[in-house]
Amino acid sequence: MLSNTLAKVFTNGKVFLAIQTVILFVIAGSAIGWTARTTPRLSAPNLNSEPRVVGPLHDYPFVVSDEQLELVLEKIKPSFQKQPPKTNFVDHALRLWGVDVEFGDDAIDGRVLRELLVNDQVFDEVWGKSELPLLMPNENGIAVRTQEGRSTVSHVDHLLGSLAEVGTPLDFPIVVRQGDNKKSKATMFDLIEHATNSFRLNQKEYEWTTLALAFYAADAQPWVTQEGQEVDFNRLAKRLMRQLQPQGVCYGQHRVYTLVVLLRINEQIKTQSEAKLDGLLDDETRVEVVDYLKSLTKALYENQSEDGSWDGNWADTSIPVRDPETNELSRQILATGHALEWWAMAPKDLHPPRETIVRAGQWLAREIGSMDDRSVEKNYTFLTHAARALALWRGKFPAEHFERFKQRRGSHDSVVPVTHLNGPAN
Amino acid sequence: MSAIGKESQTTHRLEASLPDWCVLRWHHAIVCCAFSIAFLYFSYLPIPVGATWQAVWQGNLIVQDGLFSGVLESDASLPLSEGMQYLHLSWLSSVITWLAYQVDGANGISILFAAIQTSTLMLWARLFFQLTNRWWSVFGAFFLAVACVFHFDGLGPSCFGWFCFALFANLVFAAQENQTSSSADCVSISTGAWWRWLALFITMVIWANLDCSFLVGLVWIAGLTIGRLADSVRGFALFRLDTELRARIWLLELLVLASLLTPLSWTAWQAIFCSQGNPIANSLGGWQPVSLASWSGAVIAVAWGIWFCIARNVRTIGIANLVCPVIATIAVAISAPMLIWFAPLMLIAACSMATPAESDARPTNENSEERPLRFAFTLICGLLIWIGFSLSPVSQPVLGGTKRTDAQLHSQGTPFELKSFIANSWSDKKQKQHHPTPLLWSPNYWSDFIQPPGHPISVFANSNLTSLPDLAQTDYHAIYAGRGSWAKTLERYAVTDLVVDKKHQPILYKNVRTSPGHWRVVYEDEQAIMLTRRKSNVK
Repeated sequence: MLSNTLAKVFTNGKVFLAIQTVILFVIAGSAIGWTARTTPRLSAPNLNSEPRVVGPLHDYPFVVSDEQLELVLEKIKPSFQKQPPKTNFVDHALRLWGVDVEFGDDAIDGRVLRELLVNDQVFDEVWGKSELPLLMPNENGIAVRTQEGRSTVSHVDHLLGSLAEVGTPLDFPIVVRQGDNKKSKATMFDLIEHATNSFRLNQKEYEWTTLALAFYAADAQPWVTQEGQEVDFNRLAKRLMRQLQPQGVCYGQHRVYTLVVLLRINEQIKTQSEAKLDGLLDDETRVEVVDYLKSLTKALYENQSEDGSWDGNWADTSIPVRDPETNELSRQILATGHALEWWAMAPKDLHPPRETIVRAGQWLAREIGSMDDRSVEKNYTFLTHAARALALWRGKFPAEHFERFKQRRGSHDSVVPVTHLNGPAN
Repeated sequence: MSAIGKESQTTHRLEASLPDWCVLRWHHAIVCCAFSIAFLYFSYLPIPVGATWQAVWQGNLIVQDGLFSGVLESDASLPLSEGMQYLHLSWLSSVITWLAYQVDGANGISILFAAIQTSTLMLWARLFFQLTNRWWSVFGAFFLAVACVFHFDGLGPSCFGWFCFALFANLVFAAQENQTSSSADCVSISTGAWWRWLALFITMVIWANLDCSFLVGLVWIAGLTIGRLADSVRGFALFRLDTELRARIWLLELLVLASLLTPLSWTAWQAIFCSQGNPIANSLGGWQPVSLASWSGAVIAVAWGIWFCIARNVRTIGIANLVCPVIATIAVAISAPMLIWFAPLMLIAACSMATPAESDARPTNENSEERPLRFAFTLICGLLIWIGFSLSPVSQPVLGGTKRTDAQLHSQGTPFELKSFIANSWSDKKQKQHHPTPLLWSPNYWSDFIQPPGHPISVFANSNLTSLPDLAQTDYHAIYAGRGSWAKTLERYAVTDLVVDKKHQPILYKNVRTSPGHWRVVYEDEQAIMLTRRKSNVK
């Protein structure tokens, strides 16, 4: 009886059409409801227009004295013998000196350094029209030519990281060359857009991209890369910790520096934001990062050489350095400068005993102080990290120290003699 | 002969008490023989080293962690796939495969595979016979077996899916046994009994949990519905909405509802619309355009040839019999592994068009005394089935005999020794000493096998290679080929252990031998070499 009734209901033409209409509406309603409820997956992180400022935390005069620091900074001014200067040097100099520095001599001022990098008009004047531009517009945004010769940068997205660290806003105008050799205007946002669009979690260099994104990050929202992989700063932090040390660029120290910056920005967001936002890292990852950095500090403490420096095998001295054919002093400056740089930004609980830092700082100051101009230019990029590290250990950015020393020089004599800084000859 | 003897002979003569439908004929014996051989063939087919073992691994994980603990939305064995959209759409297949492994190890998997494949062929054979009423049409099932055999990588979700499809198709055509369909495509949903609707619903629920190929079933029913609608339009009855068309629409909706009864529910349907790394498309074979100059191309040509031969003699071709083959051809053109769905759909369409032969009436009215050997073929059939059973490994618990060795059970080149080395040397304690988070690079076809179920070993890639990000896939292939900076690439992924297939990776093998760098050999046999990264104090 019941089955007959049901059969009639389901086979009756009008009832059938009515039920189908209802089903259609239910499906449409569910689809709309689902779309409204589902948070769209972002293809890029949410960004602030102004980058954050992550400054030094410590002022330890025993790491480097004023006189030593003044000499070091004097040597690392962006005054290059070989012209035009390598873009790589300009990029590193910008990161060291920032945009506000004015040297008043043949060294390149901060604003010019930045223009050399982001204004193709200026780049043209220096390198000539025959040289390929540094900034290449494409469908993903504006790419930066990397590791393609003297006129290009040396690390993926290092320029982006430098611009972020010196406080370049996303609407900062940049000038690029189009296919017909005409100039067109773009903004800093186009650079970061390219970096985000072409980012792959497993790419060779990702440290500077991570750093730049962290500087501009508005929140901890994940986004999806073009490979379809969901990425957030927790995953980036894990990626930074994935490789064994000292593998990676600059003996793995860029990874460590970026981790420290992530920790710092995480704290900034949590403590300073009025909206009580979540930090970039969840608690589990933050603890993991801290433990990781502590393990590196321990390794550095245990492997510091007698003179206070480290070499390319800073993580494990039982393993030979990977590049024994390179100059030993260059390797040591590279390893020691980078280590002091991330410690300078790191909270105190991640530091080794003070003696370790003092010995390293003093070793750097002595070695840089005694270098001739040719050696300085040869090791310029490594030295920018070392000089920046020493400046940060005195609680300020290099340009601020330079200004301080310049004012002081106005009332006193010039730079202190090298022999005096290096102590008595013995 | 004495009178007593004569009396005794007539009184105690043996008489068959079996009904007449048990009287089998010579062609039944041929079919029995064919299926016995097929069962033996599947029983002794070695287990391939790939996806079956991933199913065992996943099954173990599902049973341990539970269905709703997120295991269906992440591949725990592949840390490099974190953040990629992943759906384990065949959880039930994995659990069944794992259970078979628990019951009788690799032998259990082998027997289950043989049973499923033979049952599937029998279901296809039954359907083709039902549609054509010609005994030789059952060999269409063997055409399917030969056509699709290269696309089955051992016992995997697609095997279960194929079985479900065969069962599903039998249920769809079930009404034709006693009734003549009025539709051009031979399908008559509206005349079916309630139990058939229920059976179709249950089959779809099980299918949706076994394999994502349930979509093939839905698309087929959708094709039949569209075909019916088009047939109506052709007959100038657009708004007639006849009972059969309505029944098909109801069935389609019911089956869609059934497909939602899985732990992933809506998520599986949402994944259909995923533009990047679509897990459904990947599970069905992904982007693998078919080459016409290949086995698949030949099968497509033969299938269409059969279709055309039959269609020539048909006055009116049901639109569904055209729509479904066209959709299936497009699918197989995009993805060659879709051949396992294309071939049966083509044969169903072809058989639906064939005019059924007149009923093959048996001589039941003959005097049984005149046909003393009428059960001879029945006995031969029984004998053939018995021979098939006794020669197969299934008989071992009943008839005795020695169990098959690992070498007999597994396909050639399966690295048993390497697996036992890894299982023994990577016990939890040793592993912590070795490295807190080990990552093993091995050829992806070995990864699933050498990763013991329940063992916390992560691998770079396994048979589920497409769930890795593109760059990781590219790097996997570069390492596999031993290209350029393979050592630096391994460093980039923090690979702690490396397994090389000596036969298929000669360049990488030569490289690790001549310039091992930070790698140290810990194991080597004729097939494989395993290296581990020298320890560093710091991760």
